Amino acid sequence: MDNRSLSKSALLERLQFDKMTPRTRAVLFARIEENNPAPQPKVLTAQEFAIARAVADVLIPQNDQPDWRVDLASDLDLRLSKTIGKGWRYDVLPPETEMYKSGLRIVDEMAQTKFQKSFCDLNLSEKTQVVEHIEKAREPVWVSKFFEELLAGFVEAYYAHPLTQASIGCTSMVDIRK
Amino acid sequence: MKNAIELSHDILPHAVPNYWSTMQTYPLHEEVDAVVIGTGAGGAPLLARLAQAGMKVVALEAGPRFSPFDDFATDEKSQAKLFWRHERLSAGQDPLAFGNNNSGTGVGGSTLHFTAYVPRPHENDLKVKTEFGRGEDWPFSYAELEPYLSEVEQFIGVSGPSSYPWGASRSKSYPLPPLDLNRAAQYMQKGCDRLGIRTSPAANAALSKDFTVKGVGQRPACNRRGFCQAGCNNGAKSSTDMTYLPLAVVHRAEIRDHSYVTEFELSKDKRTMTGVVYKRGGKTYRQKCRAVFLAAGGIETPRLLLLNSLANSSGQLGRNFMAHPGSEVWGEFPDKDEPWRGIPGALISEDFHRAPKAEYETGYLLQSIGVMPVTYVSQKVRGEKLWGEKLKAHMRQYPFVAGINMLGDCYPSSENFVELSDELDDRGLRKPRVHFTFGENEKRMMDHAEKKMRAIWEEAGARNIWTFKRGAHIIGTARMGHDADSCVVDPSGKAFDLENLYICDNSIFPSALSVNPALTIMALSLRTADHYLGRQS
Ligand SMILES: Cc1cc2nc3c(=O)[nH]c(=O)nc-3n(C[C@H](O)[C@H](O)[C@H](O)COP(=O)(O)OP(=O)(O)OC[C@H]3O[C@@H](n4cnc5c(N)ncnc54)[C@H](O)[C@@H]3O)c2cc1C
Ligand code: SF4
Repeated sequence: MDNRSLSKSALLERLQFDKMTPRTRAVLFARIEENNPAPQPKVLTAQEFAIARAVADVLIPQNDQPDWRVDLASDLDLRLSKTIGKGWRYDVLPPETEMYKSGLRIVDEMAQTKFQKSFCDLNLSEKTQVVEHIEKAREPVWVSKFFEELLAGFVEAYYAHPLTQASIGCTSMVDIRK
Repeated sequence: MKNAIELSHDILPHAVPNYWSTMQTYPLHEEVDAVVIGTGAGGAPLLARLAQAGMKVVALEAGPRFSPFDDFATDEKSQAKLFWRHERLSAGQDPLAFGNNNSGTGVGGSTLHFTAYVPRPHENDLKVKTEFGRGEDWPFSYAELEPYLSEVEQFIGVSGPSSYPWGASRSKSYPLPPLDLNRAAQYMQKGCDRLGIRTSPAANAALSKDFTVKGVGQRPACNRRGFCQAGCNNGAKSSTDMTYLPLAVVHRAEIRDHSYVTEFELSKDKRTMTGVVYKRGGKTYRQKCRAVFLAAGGIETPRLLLLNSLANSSGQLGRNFMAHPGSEVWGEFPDKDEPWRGIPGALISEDFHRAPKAEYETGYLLQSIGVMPVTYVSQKVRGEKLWGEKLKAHMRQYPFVAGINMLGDCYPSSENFVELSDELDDRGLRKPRVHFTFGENEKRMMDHAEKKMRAIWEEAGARNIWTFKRGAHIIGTARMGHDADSCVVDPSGKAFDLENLYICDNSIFPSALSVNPALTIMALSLRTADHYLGRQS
């Protein structure tokens, strides 16, 4: 069965909110409404935020979703605005906010070097080439770990979303059981 | 004591708030018999034991108190509140992930988000130095531990097989029959059968039937929700908040949540602790006490003592850090097996514990594993850097995946240790830096296990098989032993340097064991309490 192009209403139905415990229902409902409309970024600058969003679109394309989107750049900014993060950091990496800001700047510099344009102004194939480049880059030493963090952070946010879970046929959240 | 009898009629998850409303409180200026720091596997059993002996005991727990039915969603993201998330720095060739991987917080400690596998250690796990000339022996034998293992299993409610092909004989069988085999377990059974590898339903600290915790109340059977690592919302998982902590409160222990210990008060000669200093809601408090039991876990325990320059005349505090080699092998199956369903680790094989002619020393076990969606995808992208359409295609197969994982013993190494960094955390304290690199033996063991697991998965009919290498558990940073020059605590758990400090958590393990640690930590906790009580009388 191909779930790729299910609409929001079809996915909501699949979620069976009436068969969830009150706590699960409340948490997931709130997540669906989260970042809608998108808040102003608090930690990232407008430019960094735009690059983050454009990179997220390459790492996790959402163009097959007819009428819903998970706002991954807002999720990143929200994470960075909290004093408590994920609980650990590779020792080679600079502190989290600094790492994201420098890392996103490196992405843009790479776009400038390769295509003499800002990352956000590239077409999809150019963007993909830049991302592939970042993935393989070895300078500065921490850039591969930055890539891992950026990717893992976006991916965790995307697959934590109930609509995404429903779209891949995961119904783990339907948690009222006899 | 008023509510002990009333409470026993309640179903526990709903009764938990009652415990708190009737909980004994002790004034700060009154000297209590003991302060216990941390309420996980190491702190909780001992807290109950001391309280049952009539002692006045206070537990200080950094994390919050949860009411599982009201507070726990079947959702990984919101349940990140169970993780210890004050930043740790991960160094070495195989830097360890913490947060969602290795340690928890809250009244219940890491048992709130542990997976609930509770295999017993083997007799020879406690004697690796005698057997292989490397690592360390434990300062006592398995025979001394066995009654405690048994007591824990009977009390908390462990579901397990009636006969088991490996290990020493048992003084008592498991109190409950094993939990159902989920799909991953069935696949593993099939693959192992074809390869002649023996399997057994695994021991799990989760209830296959409704169960009464003696002196506490009744708990319902597991409903196969499979989110054990994100917290069990119905009380079927035998985490300490469902077992030893309510027992302690019934016996007049006080548990203070959100209470983060930062310092100790000492006698003039610095040989005795006279009080514990902690922060709660921005204020500093001091609790006078006659003894301290430190059970803050394998990283926070050495960190707290290092921050206070205590208990380290051996120079060994933070050293000998070990983590279990814990590679996982995943594959896709033709049928939608719903990897989020059922107790995650339902089947075990210990055929590779001391396998004849093996190219590695010591041993490992294999377990089938279920997995929650975000945990799965996070490992996939960290391990393989998968993104774009490939990632999305892979995740459409998530409902069809099943896994096996290994868990093996680990030798201590001078390269692996916990130290204080110069960076400050959100509380203004120096962050711990954890160095970890797998040794040659661990690597050989992981290679061996990976080949076996892949073979099992091929026999079981899996496609797109892939491996994720990881280290699990935080072990060994305050070693227990006879020798004050090479160990931090003596065989009873008492710090060599102080008259009344006991350490009682994963940090005192002299060797890592070839099994998951929680059951042994709980058994050790009861043993330490008995030693202490013996000394008092
Ligand atoms: C995801 C996951 C799955 C696991 N699965 C299994 C499994 O299946 N089987 C198994 O055997 N083990 C498993 N474990 C490991 C097991 O949970 C731990 O080994 C065990 O709980 C450790 O016990 P502990 O007493 O050493 O520490 P913890 O249980 O971590 O308890 C330490 C407590 O101390 C508190 N604390 C820390 N510092 C302070 C301070 N300064 N002041 C006050 N309080 C403080 C913490 O908040 C915490 O509550 C798992 C762990 C995790 C994280
Ligand atoms: S599978 Fe069982 S033990 Fe695990 S969370 Fe669900 S009910 Fe609790």
